[in-house]
Amino acid sequence: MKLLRSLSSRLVVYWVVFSMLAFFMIPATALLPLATLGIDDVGYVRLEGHTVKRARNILMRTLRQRSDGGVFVEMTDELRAYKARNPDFRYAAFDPTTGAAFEGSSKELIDYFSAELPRLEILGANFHILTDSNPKSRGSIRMVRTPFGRFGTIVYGAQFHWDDLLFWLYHYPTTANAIAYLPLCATISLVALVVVRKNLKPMRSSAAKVAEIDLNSLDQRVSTEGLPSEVVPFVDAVNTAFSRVDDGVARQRRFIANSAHELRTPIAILRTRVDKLDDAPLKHEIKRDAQRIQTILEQLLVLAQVEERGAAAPMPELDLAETVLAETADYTPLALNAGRRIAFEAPSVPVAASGYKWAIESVVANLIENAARAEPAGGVVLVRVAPDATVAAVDHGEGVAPAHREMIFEPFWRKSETTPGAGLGLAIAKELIERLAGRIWVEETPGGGATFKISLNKS
Amino acid sequence: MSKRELLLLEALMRRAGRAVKHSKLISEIHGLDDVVQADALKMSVSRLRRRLKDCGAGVEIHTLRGIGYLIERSRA
Repeated sequence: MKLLRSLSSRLVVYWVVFSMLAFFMIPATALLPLATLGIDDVGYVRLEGHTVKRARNILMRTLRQRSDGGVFVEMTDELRAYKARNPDFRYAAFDPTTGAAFEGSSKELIDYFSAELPRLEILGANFHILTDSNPKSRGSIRMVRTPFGRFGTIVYGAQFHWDDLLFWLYHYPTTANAIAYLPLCATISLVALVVVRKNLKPMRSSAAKVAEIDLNSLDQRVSTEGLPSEVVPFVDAVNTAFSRVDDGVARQRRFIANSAHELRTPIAILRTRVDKLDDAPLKHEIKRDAQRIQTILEQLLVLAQVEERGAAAPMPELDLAETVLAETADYTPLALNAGRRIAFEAPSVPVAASGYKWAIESVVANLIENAARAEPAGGVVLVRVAPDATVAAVDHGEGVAPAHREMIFEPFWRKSETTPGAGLGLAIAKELIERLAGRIWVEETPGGGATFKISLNKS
Repeated sequence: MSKRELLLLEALMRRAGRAVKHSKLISEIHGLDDVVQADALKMSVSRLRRRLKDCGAGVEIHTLRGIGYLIERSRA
């Protein structure tokens, strides 16, 4: 049914159905009232035409051939019944070359025409006999083809009955009519195709525009310019929907940013209070937990910040090596405390990249923290900046199974229930890096472990 | 203790417990004018380490490869 979903094919189907209906309905609806009022003689003749056709059809079926080759009109049951309904019905069949009427023809008609028949070439004609007392009587003279030859036929005086239209309906779908109808259908199909294609063309660019809209470009709207007025309400509705989504998303972002901001103070207070505790091992653990919560909050804030600034503003240029080195140096004491070391490698010349410093810092901090946590005690985490504006954080821990290498960047993904953290760090990192038009991925460290890499645009 | 070692110790102590970058240390010790040999800093640090150990200062200078140095109280 896919074909019927195309607007052009629907147009063609509707057109065919409705035009057929109209074709059958016009005589009944438009011509009949005129005909009965006797106003439109043409309309009357058209209606009567079906009566005449039916009458001739009955007459044709009465023609019989005798063994000597002679033809006669047999009084069949059908003819008798028809005559009973139409008392004034007269009929005749004759040999067109001699004009001689066949046996069984109505005598009055033969008398009327016999003098002229040999001198007429029958092309088909409707007529009314002026001396007839009924002014509405119509007749027709016409050639017919039978299995035993071509003959002239005359029918006259049949009354119009509604079931004559049924007869016509029954005989309408002939091959000839179908052939006559075909070019018309083909033309209409072509017109429908052209009209639909041409007029819905602006829809394609509109669709492309809608497809481009994502969470960061919710302020964009689809122009209704050049669109057919029928689809404008739809486009308007889409635009309104986008406006509502835009508002909702903005509200949600504000909510996240505000929540994260509000939570900063209690966390800071918590950390100060923990410092005052005496129980050393427990104190250390609670302190670390508080640190984690704070990190997540900071990440959420960073994300809210980058969303607010949007992608429209051009990104500043910075020295990636310097930025990453500063972040690595900051994290070193924490790693040392935990019994891990951090090494840094970078080219001796600056590595130019475009991006927001605070965003890159946030991501790098997250990667180093993850790497330091994965690194076995006594090991060395390597942070490496390459000239092509990529940063790698190399650890020698358990590594990331190939099946998980995409999933770990999903929000709230954790390896297991016991894994610490909310599972937001990498998701936020990915979000940030993509905002900077960069890429983040994980590889395997040669010899075992995970190597997280980010690549940024070189400027 | 030489002037350079003293400057080095001061620079590290001012940021005790935190990493002090190579570039920072070099500019603190040698200033901006001197042409510094690649391993001059390394030699200064190893001399300082020895001295601190000899006098039992109870501090440790960690080498942070690619980053710089960090001074903190000995863990032992």
